[in-house]
Order: sequence, then structure tokens, then C-alpha cells
Amino acid sequence: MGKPKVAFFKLSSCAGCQLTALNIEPILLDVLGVVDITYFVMAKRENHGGPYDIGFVEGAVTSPRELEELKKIREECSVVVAMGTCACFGGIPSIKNFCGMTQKEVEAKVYTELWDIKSMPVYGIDYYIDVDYYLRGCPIDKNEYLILIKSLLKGINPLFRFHSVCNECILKENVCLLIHKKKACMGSVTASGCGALCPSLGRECEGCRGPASDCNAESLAEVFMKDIGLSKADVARKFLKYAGNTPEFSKGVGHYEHY
Amino acid sequence: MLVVLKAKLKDILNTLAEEYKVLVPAKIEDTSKFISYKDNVDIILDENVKLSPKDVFFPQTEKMYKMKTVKTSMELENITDEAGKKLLFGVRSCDMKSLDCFDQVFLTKGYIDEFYKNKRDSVVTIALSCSQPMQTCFCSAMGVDSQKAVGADVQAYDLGDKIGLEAISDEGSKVIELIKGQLTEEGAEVPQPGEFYLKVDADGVSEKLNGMFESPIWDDVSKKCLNCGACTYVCPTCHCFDISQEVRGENVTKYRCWDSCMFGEYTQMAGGHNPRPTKKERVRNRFMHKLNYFPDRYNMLLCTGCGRCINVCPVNLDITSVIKQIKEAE
Repeated sequence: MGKPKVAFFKLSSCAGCQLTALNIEPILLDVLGVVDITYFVMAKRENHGGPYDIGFVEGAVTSPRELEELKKIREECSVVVAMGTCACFGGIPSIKNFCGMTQKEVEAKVYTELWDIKSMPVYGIDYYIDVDYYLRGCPIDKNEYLILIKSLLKGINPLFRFHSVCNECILKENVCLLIHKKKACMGSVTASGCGALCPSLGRECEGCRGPASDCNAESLAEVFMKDIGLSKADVARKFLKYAGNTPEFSKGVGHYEHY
Repeated sequence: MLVVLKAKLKDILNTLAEEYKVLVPAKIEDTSKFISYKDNVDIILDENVKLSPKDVFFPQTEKMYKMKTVKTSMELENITDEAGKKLLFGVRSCDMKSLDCFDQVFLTKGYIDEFYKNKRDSVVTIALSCSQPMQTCFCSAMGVDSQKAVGADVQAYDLGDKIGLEAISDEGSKVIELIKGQLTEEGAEVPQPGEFYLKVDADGVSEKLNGMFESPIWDDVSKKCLNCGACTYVCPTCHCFDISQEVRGENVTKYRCWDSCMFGEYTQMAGGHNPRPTKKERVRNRFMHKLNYFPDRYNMLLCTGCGRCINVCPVNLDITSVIKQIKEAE
């Protein structure tokens, strides 16, 4: 068997995850030695058509055109990986789902020329197609990306344990931002895997990796309001920023209606 | 009692550092923990460290052994701990008690955990009594004497501007012998500790829990828990671990690292079944283990009243109020 053919696709997104997939210089050549990147518009001049063995899809579906593209990707790739939070849950683009405006109003707010704009509510790609693996994060975590590639090559399932960011944070012996610094840190409800990157640098977790397993968003929302002093609207925005589409995070929003 | 001025403590530690690798409770940025003694470390004596010394005996991640495939067979390589004796200075009674709990788990009932034993045997402890309990302390309720630690080699007493030292074990006598020249004999009394802010009555809680596996209080207790696992990592007595391996080509490293019963994956089985599927079962297990299963098996509570879990819990899930709730339950 030859090297597996790998493709990278981009829907609505910032391309940060694709950049992360390339930003592995010390071992980039090793990776290129074991897989054959046949389609990667951002990185290569010559790109070839499918079928592919592994397809990494970055970005959320925000228009009918992208939905068509996504369905074609599913047909062409034996393994589809949702790469990054936009592809997993809708991510940043999904904020528009919750702003209380119709699609037309949203379009008019952003664009001046509307004749060619057709948008739709934003969901992760698994709303439309079957997804085999997920790489969470905004952007994805390099190590998880490499673990996934290694596992796929070996034909095994990667073991990602999505307990909360607190787990990695406390192992790093950080001081708790929520309790001791009174910052609205989302770490306790957010899936780990990033090595508690933001809290280790003194910045509160924004929840970019989506809900942890057993996330208790309601309880944290209460802490945000009572102890940190956030308004209901602010709490809602916190939970809707990256993964408002997920049932876990939407619980943190409560019954608040105008975001 | 042999005493030394607190101002002269560093002289003693310097002497001991010639013989041992000395670890002292010190402030690091916003936190505090046991670190290697150097002349410029900021030793704290007025309160307990935020991170317990458990990782000296039971590190976060510990390499167990290495394997290497050589043609059709496999070579095993043991990993040896760094040589030389360590000396832990200033361990509080609660953390000494937690070592007692660890000893029960790792060294009794017919099985000896070599990884733990090697580390445990290489450490000499100087326990330090507490003069004033912190806001979250409740060790006396857990049967711990804050003035007299269990299993210490040397017991030190906080005498205001001085520290009194008393050898307990043979190993401790050797330590005192080393620094004898720098100590003076004084007729000091064992000091009385200050009053506890946090009052808990844990009497009979273990027995009470016998019939409470299905009690509705667990729904209530677990409701606000975030499953973050912070309590289990800072707990000086929590000792769950996971064994895993890293494979790089022909080299395999087996290691074990801390795990936490608060995580769903902790009890997840290969087929997908999980005997503790929700938070309720996990929270129940944590408190049942500390207050019922462990006393049942080893005749001591698996909580030393250090109060660290109270200090780190984001939603203020407080073990003392859980104890109260258990005692008040029908």
C-alpha cells in the first residue's frame, strides 16, 4: 500500500487550523514522509482531485455552496476529520445564530452588496455529514493533530480524554484564575487537550475547545453571576462564543433570550 | 527541648544540605510548595503550603520502566530514582498523616509498590507543628494532632521566634546529631494550638454512611460539582493513577500519572460500559471512599483536614458541609 492520500479543505474559517497543521517544522518532513498531501490549497501550488484517504475539513458551513462542497468531500474521503472548533461545533461563525436577527438582517449588517450573498444558520459539519474524528480547539492543538495522524496510520482509535481544562491547569500548578483572581475562566467546563495554554499565561479560558465530558455549565454560569459579577447577558455571550450550538454550553445560557 | 532562632534557621538548613537534598516549604510566585532548598528561597513558616508534598513520593508523572524491541525479543530497562537521601523540612501534621494513608495503600495488605517504597525510604521528615490554623483547616476533626505528627523522624515546634526540635526516630536522632552544635537547650513547653475557625464533628460519619449508598443527598451534593478534578489533585491523600505508555519506534516507555475519580473516563471500560456513568456516582464515590470504604479497610479516614479541596473548589463544594449533610440526613 502506498502512502495515504491526505486532503485539507476550508469552509468558513480563518485558516488558523490549516496554518497549525503546517506549523510543525521540526517534524514536518517526517509527516510528509508518511503521508501524501494531495490537496492543500493554502500550502501547495499543485493540487489533485479525489478520492482521498483522509480529509481534514476546517471551518463551519455557512452557505448552501459550502454544504454542496462538504457533501462532495464526504463522498471523496474515506475518513473525514473535523479540524478545529468551527468544523466541530460551528465556532466563532455560529455566534450569528444567537444574535436574535434573521439571516437577511445579519447579511445586511455585514455586507453592502447583498445580491450574491446566501447564508444560513451555522452548524458544525457533523450536522450534515458523518464525521469520523474531531480535532477541537481554536486553533487545533498540534500534539492532538499528530496523535491523530499517528493513530490513523496505525489503524487505531486515538485516545483523547476530554476532561476539563482544570485538570491540565492544576497539574501545571497554576493559581486558579476563577477563584483567586476572580476572572471569568471557562476552564472547568471546557475540554482539555490544549495543556491549559491560556490560563498558564494568566488569561482566562475562553472555552474554545467546546464542552468537556460531564460539563456542568449551569453551575459555572451561577458562579459567574454570583462570584464574578457578570451580567446575565455577559454569561450568555461567554457560553455562545465558540460552542453555543452544543446542548452542554447552551445550558449555561439559561433562559436568557436577547444576547 | 533543643531550640533554634527562626532567624538562624538557614544556618541549620545549610548544614543539613551538606548531607541531604533538603526540601523546604516555599513561596513561588502566587503559589507555595516544597522545593529544593537554596540560600535565596522564600521559606514560609506561618502557614501550610498550597500544594502538598505528595508529589515527592508519588509524582504527577513517573516513568516505570522502558522496553526496547531487539529483533524478535524485547529488552527491559529499569528506571532508577536519583540516589541520595532527601530531607523534607516543615511538613505539617495533616500532610504527615496523608503519608500514613499512602503507606497503608502502597505498602500493606501483602503488596508492596516498589516505586513508592523507593521514594518513601529515601526521605527523612521534619514535621512542624502549627500555631494558628488557617481559615480552611479542620485537622483535629479528622483525628490529626496538629502538634504531634504521625511517622515523623523529627518533630519541630513553632515557638514564636524560635523553633523547638525533638528527635522521634533513629533517623531523626542522626539529623539532630548533625546540627547539635547550632542548637541550644531550653526548657520550652509543647505549645497549644489556636482555635479552629472551621468546626466539624465527624464522629460516627463512617458508620452512618454504611446505609447511605442510595441516599438522595448525593443528587444534592453533586448538583453544583463541575467535575474539574481540582480537589483530587490537591488532596494529599488522593492516590489514583493511570498507567500508560509512549511508543516511539522500537522504544516504549511505561509511565504512570495521576488520575482522578471525578472523570468519566476513569471508570470507562473498553467496551464502552461505565459503572459510574454520571457525576452523582462519581461524587458519591469520592466521599464514600474518603469517609467509609477507606476506614473500613484501613481503619482510618482518608481525609486529613488540610482544607486544600475547600480552597480550590470553584463552586465551593466543601467536604465539611458534606459531612454535616451526611450526619443530618435521615
